[in-house]
Amino acid sequence: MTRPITEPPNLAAAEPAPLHAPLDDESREWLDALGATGHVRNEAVARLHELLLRAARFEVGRRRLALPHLRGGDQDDLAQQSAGDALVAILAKLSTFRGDSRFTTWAYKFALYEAAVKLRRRRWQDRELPLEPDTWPDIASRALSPADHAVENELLDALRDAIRSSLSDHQREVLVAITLNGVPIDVLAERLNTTRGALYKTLHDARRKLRAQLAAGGHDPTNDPGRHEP
Amino acid sequence: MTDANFVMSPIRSDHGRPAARDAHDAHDDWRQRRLVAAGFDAQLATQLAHDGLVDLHELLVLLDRGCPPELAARILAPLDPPEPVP
Repeated sequence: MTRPITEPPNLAAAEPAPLHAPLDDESREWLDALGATGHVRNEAVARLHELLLRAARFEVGRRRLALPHLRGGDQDDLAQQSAGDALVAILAKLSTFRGDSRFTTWAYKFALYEAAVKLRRRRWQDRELPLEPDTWPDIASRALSPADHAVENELLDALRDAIRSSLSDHQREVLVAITLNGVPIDVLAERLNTTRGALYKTLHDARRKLRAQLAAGGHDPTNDPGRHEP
Repeated sequence: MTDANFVMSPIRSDHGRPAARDAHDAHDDWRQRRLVAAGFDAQLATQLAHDGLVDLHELLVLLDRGCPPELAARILAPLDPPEPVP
C-alpha cells in the first residue's frame, strides 16, 4: 500500500490563528458603551443591570422550591443583591471578555452564579451546621459482590479510624462538614470568617494525611473494589 | 475529638427584629460556642466571635498546632483596630 504524497504545509505563509474570536456587533456595542464615559456609559450600565436583574429573578424563581420559607419580598431582595454583585463583577472583569460567546450570554452567567451562591447561603442560614460525624453517611451504596463488599467495609472502617485518629480537631471538623455533611465551602468560610482557599488547603492536608494513614495500614485508597479490569 | 456538638440553633425572627439581625447574632453565638469548645475562655471567645476582622479558621489552626488560645488571639489580632465611634 502506498501512501498518498501530500505537499507539506507552507508554514511561512500560514496566517496566525486569532487569539480571540471576533466579536459580534451587539457584543462590540456593549463593550464600546460600557467603556465610554458619561451618559453613554450610565445608560449602558442601567441596561446591563436590567438584564442581570431579569436573569437573577429567573434563577431565584427556578430554585425557589428548595427554599419554601422564602417570601416573595425576600426572593426579590436576593435577586436585586445578585444583580448588583454581578454588575460589579462584570465591570471589574470587562477586559477579560474574550468573545467566545455573546456578551449578554457571558454576563448572564454572572447573575446566575451570584443568585445560586446567595440562595445556597440563605438555605444554610437557618440550618444546623454539622461539624461532627454524628451519623456516618452510607457511602457504600453500590451493589457489590460479597467479597468486594467485605473489602469495602474494611476500607471504610479504616477510613473512619483514620479520620478519628490522624486528623487534628479542626481538620476533622472541616473535612466532616464539607465532605460528609455537605456544608458548602463558601458557607463554612463565611461562618468562620475565613477564605475558601484556606479551607481548601485544610481539606487538602486532611486528605493527604488520610491517604498516608490508609496506605500505612495496608489499604490502597485508590483501589476501587467495585471496579474490575476487563 | 471535641465532645461538643457544634450545631446552630434555628433562627427565628422574634420581637419584630429583622431576620438578618437574628442570623448575625446566631452566627456570632455559633462562633463563640465553637471557640469555647476549642479551649478559649468565654470572655475572649465572645470578643473574638463578635470581631469581624479575626479569621477563626486560622485561630483554630494555630490551636491545632499547640498554640495557647490567648497567644493565638494576639497573633491574629488586627493590626489596625477600627476607630471607636464617638
